[in-house]
This record gives sequence, structure tokens and C-alpha cells, in this order.
Amino acid sequence: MLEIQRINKTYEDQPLLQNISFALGKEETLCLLGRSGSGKSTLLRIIAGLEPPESGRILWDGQDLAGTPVHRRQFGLMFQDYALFPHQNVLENVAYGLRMQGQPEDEVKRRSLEMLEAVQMRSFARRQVTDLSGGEQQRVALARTLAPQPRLVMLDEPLGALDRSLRAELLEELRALLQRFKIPAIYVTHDQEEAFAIADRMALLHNGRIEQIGPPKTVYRCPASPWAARFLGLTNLLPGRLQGSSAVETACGTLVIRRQTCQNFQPGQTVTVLLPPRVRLAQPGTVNQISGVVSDLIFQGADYSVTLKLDSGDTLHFQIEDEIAAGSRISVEVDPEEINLLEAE
Amino acid sequence: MRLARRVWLWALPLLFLGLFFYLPLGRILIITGQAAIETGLRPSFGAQLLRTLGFTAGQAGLSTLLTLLIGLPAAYLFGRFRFPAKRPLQLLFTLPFILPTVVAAAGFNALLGPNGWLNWGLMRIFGLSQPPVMILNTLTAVLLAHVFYNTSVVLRVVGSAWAQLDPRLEGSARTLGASPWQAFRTVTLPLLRPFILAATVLVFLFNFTSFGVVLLLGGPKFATLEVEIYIQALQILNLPAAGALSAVQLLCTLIITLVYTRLADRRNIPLTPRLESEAVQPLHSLPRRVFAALVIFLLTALLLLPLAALVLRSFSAVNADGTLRLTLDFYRELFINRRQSIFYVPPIRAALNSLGYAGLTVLISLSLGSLAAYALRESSRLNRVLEPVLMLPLGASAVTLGLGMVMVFNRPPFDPGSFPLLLPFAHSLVALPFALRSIQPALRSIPPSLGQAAAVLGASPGKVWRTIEMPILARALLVSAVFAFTISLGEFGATAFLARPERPTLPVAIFRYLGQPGELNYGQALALSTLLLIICAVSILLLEYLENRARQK
Repeated sequence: MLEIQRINKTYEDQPLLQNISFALGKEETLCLLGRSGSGKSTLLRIIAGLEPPESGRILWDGQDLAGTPVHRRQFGLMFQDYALFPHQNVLENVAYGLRMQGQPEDEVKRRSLEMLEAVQMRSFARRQVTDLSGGEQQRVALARTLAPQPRLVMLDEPLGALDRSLRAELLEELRALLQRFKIPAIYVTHDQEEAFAIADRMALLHNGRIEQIGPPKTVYRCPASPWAARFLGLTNLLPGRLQGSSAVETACGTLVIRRQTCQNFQPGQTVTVLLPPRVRLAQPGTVNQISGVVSDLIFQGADYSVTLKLDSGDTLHFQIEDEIAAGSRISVEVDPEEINLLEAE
Repeated sequence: MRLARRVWLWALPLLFLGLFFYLPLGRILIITGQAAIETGLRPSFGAQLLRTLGFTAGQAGLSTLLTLLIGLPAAYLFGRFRFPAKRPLQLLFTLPFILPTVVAAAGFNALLGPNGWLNWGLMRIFGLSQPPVMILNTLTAVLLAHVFYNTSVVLRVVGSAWAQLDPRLEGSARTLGASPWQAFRTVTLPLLRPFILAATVLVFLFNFTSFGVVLLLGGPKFATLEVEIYIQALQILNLPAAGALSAVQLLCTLIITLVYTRLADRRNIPLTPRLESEAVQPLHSLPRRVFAALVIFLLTALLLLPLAALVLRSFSAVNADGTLRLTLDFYRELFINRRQSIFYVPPIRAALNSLGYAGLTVLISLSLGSLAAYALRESSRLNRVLEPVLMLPLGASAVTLGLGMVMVFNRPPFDPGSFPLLLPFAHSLVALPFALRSIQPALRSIPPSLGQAAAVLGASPGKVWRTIEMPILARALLVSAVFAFTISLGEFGATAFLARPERPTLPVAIFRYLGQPGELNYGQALALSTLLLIICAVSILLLEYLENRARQK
């Protein structure tokens, strides 16, 4: 299987990838999650062999691929804008990889049509790729990537260019296809919801380094750093100081914590306190009451998105189901189980 | 747009074209037709015509082949790689394309001619009394000059397409199992083919209609259709024969132009433009570096050496003992009106005349081009008929244009002597299609919603034009102004027919001086050529500056 060892790459004298290492299990889908410019696409190009790394190794079943040119690696790569060949029709595009393998023509045709069937594009076989919509192009590109049965498939922001409703639909199809073809996959995206939906494991890429790697649930529950938390949409971060082992002092008072779920800190240490996004209005007599003024209120159907301005001047964002009035002063209660401690910023 | 307004927009450009292009063209056809009916074209003339046509097509084909052999590797180098001084080199290699033919001829003369550097060096080294290399008046000289001219066309058309080609297409092919060569053959080449074909046809057209360099470097033995028209009309004074040749020439260029436009339409494969850094790679392996060095060496030798030879030679005079000295004599002579001179004015007058004509050409071609662009702004049936009418001068040769003009306007007050505007009119006709090609897309790129948005914000139609359309069009107008200016400065085909000895233009003066014996005449031709070269180089820099500013926005 694929193993990446200490890959380094600089771009215009800036480090783009630093010491990237990970391994990919059989049939596993790994999501590389990071902002644009974080080097995700370059990493895919390096794995594919389109660009050399400055140092580090790429192994397949323990064998170094440094001397293996792109076309012998049998790694599929689907580019962000699909890179469909504009001078070939849909069928010819899908058949390209099979033709390069030197398969007999009737086999090429049978397999290509089968792939088009799998992505529900069989009736488009004779169409020009330039006439297709974004979603149709995406399906054809996927069929083209999977047709030669690569031993690894890499998808670079496969849904990036599509609108929201189409994305959800195609994401589901993509998941089903990857499961059906049992191919290990590396999926690059900047959208954490996409990553949650499709990843067996996800890796957060930040400043050219892997900030955190693990199953989506673990990463979301225990972000490795304040950056990781914010990147995943967890924005309720407050500086604090650990008192004893079950209380933390913050700008909104001393909060009780039940246990240290993710990392262990010593009493007295400064930390970053991560509060959950979903809370309730405080019942009388409960612990961990945080009060402030509702400075912004957005109705979202199932709940309200509330911006709470604390007396300290900090703002927190919560999802609250209870009925609330804008401008009013409220108190919310935070479950001690749901408070996390991260390293200080 | 209301019909009345459109008719108004059309009126001036059509009137101008009708009077100064279609009338002369018609005149040529009528005179030729009459001569054919009255005397019947002699069979010997038919044979001569076929021979000339064969030579014209043959040399054009050979020149095109050589140009592609050098231009395609150059396009690959400049389209795909990043290396030091790439942009300045690219600019320098574009320079030949806008150079006047007489300057190119003077450059090759200064390098390879009997008084040029090569012969001077060989004579000095081996102590010869006669120049050993006689390359002028051979087919080789013509081919060299055509390669000199058109390599930049291939470099521009194919090179920019190559740079625009999404490298991910090739990357996809590679990850799908194609070797580098297979990826090139199945993806890159098919996508570039329309551009290569278009460049080929364009280069062939330029070589087919080439006049100045063939006249100056090929000599009387190698006459293309253009040169033959000139000889028949101005030296043998056989106007019907010149007319017949013109008709054949017109038919040929029309066919080639049609082929070209068909190809240009097919070029519409969407090549998504991307960041430059993605496609171009540094030259990181030794074979690539050797390749780059070889290409740049060849381009420099073919494209830049003649120009360097020209400039250096214009500052050097040969002493009686064969040694050289640096001198400004040739430039000083430009301001002196010598009695035995070919013209009645000091040579520098030619430069002033040229600048004046060029200014008028800019004014006329830009006004007419803008009017026509506005008339063509919306597509309608009328416009579909009228657009080719406007673009036809692009296919007609300048020599034919000049011939037609002297056939129609040959009596006072409308003969070239008493009506000096004929010359800038002819230049404007040559420049007009270029102006239109530049202004029209810029105008079409302005969405109607922009003007509507401005109107909603309270701008009157006049203010909309001044504050929205003009600033967007300004760059296109400037670019076409520079083009019209250099076209007029270098125009030689029509000018050869229309310029008067007392009002020579720079190319006419250079042509006459080159044809005269003596070091002084030779030196003055080179000095005037150097002046033209400098003006053209400044134009190129100006165009580059405009392009850069547009890109930064």
C-alpha cells in the first residue's frame, strides 16, 4: 500500500510541504483538508510523479517509486477542473487509459461504456465534452480516472467547481463508487463537511505540515490545536488557566470541566478553552452559566444562530433552540462534558 | 440600433473603401478584361504567368517550411519553459515582424551584401580584392529574409497557444498511462494542430505576397507575382499585363485568406487560460539546456544578427586601405541637400514625410475603424454582408492597391503629384483591417449591462461613452494606433507607385539609395534604415508596455 515518508517541497523559496508522512490503508479514503495554497494539490502531483519532491520517499508495498515514471505508477489523478481532453468525445476520454494499456478495441469499448454506466452517463457517450455541464464533466472525469483500474485514485477538489445542491448529490455517488470499486483514495478538499462525509481518516494540512490526522470523529472532538478547531468551524475559543484538575478560569468566570478528554495539562497551566457550538438557555442552579447580550440573532429554521457578547468583550457563537429576543441579556449553560482544553495560543 | 444611425456609421467607411479600394480594383479588372478582348493574351504571356505563379508558390512553400523548422522548436521553448531574460528575448524576436521590408533588406545587405560585414571580414582575412560571397540576388537571400520575417508569427501564434494549453491535460494523459511521447502525440499535438495550421497558412500568405524583400534581395531573376506586377507596370509600362497579374494575385490571396479564416474559426477549442507558473517549467536538465541554447543561438543568428549588422555598419565607413573607422558621416549627410542627389530634398525630409504620412494614417484608419466597429457592434444580416467588404483589403496586395490607384487617379487634381493625400489613404486602407480587428473585439467585450448600469446611475449617453466605453476602448485604440503608425512607416508596395520624387518616404529613399553605387549612398541607406529600426523598436516597447498595463489591471 501507499506510504509517504518525509516529503519536502519549496515553492519560490517558501516551504510548501514540510516533512509530510502518512500511510494509506487498503480500501481507505484519506481526506487532505486545507485552505487553498496549503500545498494539497502539489502533494497529489508529487505522489502521481508529475513533480519531484525535494526530499522524501513515496513507497508502494515497500518499494520506492522514485524511478517509476508517471505512466507506470497506475495512480489515477482527477484534476480540479477535470482536464477532460477537449478534442475527444465522452467515450474517447473514458477509453483513453484503457487504450494506453493496449487493451483490444472491443474490450476498451465494453469497459468504457460500463464505466459510463456506473456514473450514469452512458447516453452521453458520443457527446463532446465541451458541451457538458459541470456535474456531467465531473462524472465523465471520474469514469475516465477509474476506467483503467488504478491501484490508487487521487481526487483534487472533485466537487469544488459545482454548486451546493449538486455537490451533496455527487458526494453521495462518489462515496458509493469508491466503496464499490474498493480502491484506496486520497481526496483533497477545503470543505470540512465534504471531508466528514467521505473520509475514513482526515489529515489537516496547515503551513505545509500535517497539523492533525485521524478519523473525522476524533479530529472534530479533539482538535489538535486552536487553528485546527477554528478550521473545523469550532470558533468558541477562550484563553484560560487550569485550576486543580476540574476547573478552568476564563473571562466568563470559572468553568467546571468533567475530565480532560483530549490532552493532559498540569494544574496552573494556561490553556485554550473550547466551548461547544450547541447549548441551551441556563436552568436555575446549574453550573457553567455564561451570560451576555445577544448582539446578533439569525433564525435558521431548526434553531437560532446567536452571537453572544460577553461582559469581558469576547464574543461567542452558539446554536440555541430556545426562543430568544435580539438585544436581550441571556445566560446559557455549558455541559462540563463538552468543554475541551487545547494548547494555549 | 436604429437603422438610420447604423447607415450613418456605415456611410464614411464604405464611401472611403468604395472610392479608394473597390474603384481601383474594378479599374484593374476592366483594363485587363478589355486588353484580353482586344488583343487576346498572347500564349507566351500565359506561360510567363504560370512560371511566375509557380515560382511565387514554390518559394513561399519553401520559406514556410524553413520557418516552421525554426519556429516550432522556438514556440515549444517559449511556450513551455522559464529561463533568464525570456521576456526581453521574446520582444527582440518579435521585432522583425513589424520591421519594414526595406529595413530587413538593408540588414541582410549589411550582413551578407558585397559591402557587408561578412565580405569585408573575408576580404581582410584572405586579402581578396573582390567580395567572395555573392548571396544577394539569389533564392537563398529571399528565403533567409522570409524566415527572418515570419519566425515571429509561428513563435507568437503557436507559442502562445502552447503556453495557454492546460498542462493538466498532459498530466491527465500521463496518469492514465501515456508515456511522454504518447501524451504529446494524442493530446498536445491534436490540440495545437489548428494553431500550427493557421500559422502555416498565414506565413504562406505573407511569403506569397512578399514584395519588398524579393525586389531588393532576389533581384530581377527571382520575380514573384508582386514584383512582376511592379516591373510590368513601372518599368515595362505594360499596364494590361500588370493588371492580369494583379487579378491572378488577387484570386490567389483571396483563396489563401479564405482558408485561413476557416482555420481561424476552427481554432475555437477552449484553451482555458491559467496562471503562467503552472505551465512553464525551469530548464532543469542538461538536454533541455542544450536545446534552449541551440534554439536561442539560431534565432539570434537569423533574426538579430542582420539588425546588429545594419546598425553597426551605419556607423562605420571603409577607408581606402580597407580598414574601418567609426563615423557619424552618414547621419550628417542626411541633412545635406547635395546637387547630384537622387532627390530634390535633403534625405532627412524623407523621415519627416514618413512621420507626417504615418500620423495621417493613424488618424484616418482609427476614425474609420472605430466607425465601422460601432456599426458592426450588433450582428445583423446587413452586418454579415458588410463585414467581409471591410476586411477584403487585408487579402489584397499593396502593390495591386498602388497599381489600381495610379490607374484611377492619374489626372490633376487627383493624380499622386497634386493630391498628396493619396499616399496616406493607401496606407490607411492597409491599416484599416488591423484597426478593425483590434477595436471590434474590445467593443464587443463591453457588455450592454455596463452602459445600462451607468445610465441607471444617471449618466447621459454621451457620458456613458466618455466614462465607460472610452476608457475600456483606449487600450485597443492605442494598440491599433501603434500598428497603423508602423504599417505606414514601412509600407513599400503601394508607396512605390504613389510616392513622388520630391516627397519621398523613408522606405522609398532607402530603396533608391540601396540601388545606387558608392559608399555614401550605401551608408545613407543604412543610416535611414537604422532610424526606421529605432522607431519600430520604440513601437514594440510601447505595445509591450500597454499589454503589461492591461495585464496588471
